Amino acid sequence: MAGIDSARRGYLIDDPPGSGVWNMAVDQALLERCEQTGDPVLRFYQWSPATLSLGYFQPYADRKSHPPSYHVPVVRRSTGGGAILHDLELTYSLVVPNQSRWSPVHQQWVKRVHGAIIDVIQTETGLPVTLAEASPWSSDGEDATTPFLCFERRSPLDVISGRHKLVGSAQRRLRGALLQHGSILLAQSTFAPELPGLLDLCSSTVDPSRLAGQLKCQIAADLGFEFEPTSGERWYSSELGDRIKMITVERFGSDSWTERR
Amino acid sequence: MDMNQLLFAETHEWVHLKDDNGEKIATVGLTAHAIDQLGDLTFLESATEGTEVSAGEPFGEIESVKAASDMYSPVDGVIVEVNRDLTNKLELLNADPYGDAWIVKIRVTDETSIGKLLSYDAYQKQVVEHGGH
Repeated sequence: MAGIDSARRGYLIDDPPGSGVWNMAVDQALLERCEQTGDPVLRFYQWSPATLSLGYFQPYADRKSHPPSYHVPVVRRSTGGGAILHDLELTYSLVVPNQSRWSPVHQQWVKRVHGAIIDVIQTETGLPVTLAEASPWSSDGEDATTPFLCFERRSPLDVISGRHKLVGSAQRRLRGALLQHGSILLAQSTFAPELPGLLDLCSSTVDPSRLAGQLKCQIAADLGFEFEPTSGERWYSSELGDRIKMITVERFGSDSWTERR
Repeated sequence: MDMNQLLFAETHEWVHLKDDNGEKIATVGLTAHAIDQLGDLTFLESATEGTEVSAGEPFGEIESVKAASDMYSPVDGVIVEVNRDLTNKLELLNADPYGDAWIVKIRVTDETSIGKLLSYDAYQKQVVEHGGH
């Protein structure tokens, strides 16, 4: 598919931690911008305060099934998949032009990012990690047997170490662009104590800052774009910032969006 | 279903038009090509009866393999019926994409939107040449 293998310019944004509503509004604005300009953008960020993000199709009421995260802020993503507790983790978002939104070729973006992550984890920590192959439950939809948390689910291409999932990604596809979100679970959170993170599984001491830096470099290098580092702050103080504010009000900051299902 | 009786949007929705007391009712679904590309489907949701839709604008969403995608209305109109059976029987999309797996019926309010749709042959050509949008 054109776009996947052709090197072209893109932008790299390394943002400071932000709220869930802010982070989701920025990603949506970048997706819309990509649909208009065709510019790929790779963005890294963390969440402050710790926040639960629901997958686009998840019922809001399901968060009651997970008491440890019940009192943290919640936001509904535009991407699919299960709920994620964003605390001691690193999130990436990737927006790329999309010429055929239905095509399974878009899973290649997941494969490419996850491959980069596997390389870094193995090099930096020695932890054995691999891509998951198949889901242990039916793919006929979300039902009572489907775990609430993304990291308790298994989908092909998830990054796993033994029985633990460490990285999951999901997409939102428009006619002209797609957004891919991914979460790299660095360490266990008190708001999701059942999920050990990457650092918890390592037998040796790992510098989390170095690890995060290596992950960012490798993902950017393996995507096939020539990424130009750019200041998110500068972008957000321009027209894009107005759009982010509007998306915040109309969508991610709105109870009618968060509780729509 | 005679495929030549259908019209197609570039965004992979099919349309079957029927006259109803002088008004046109468009039955809308997803093409077999789109469904095949999507793979395992987990959710489908459309706007409800009474919703005004515009050609090229979203009227619903579908999720597969953790990818959420919009479905785009092929015509201008108002949704008059939603196939609620489909939500719990997504397998119908694979089994009978041009029959039982219809998604919505739309009362067409601006027939000029119909003129922009593709014939079966033109749609097939688009699929072969471009893979669609």
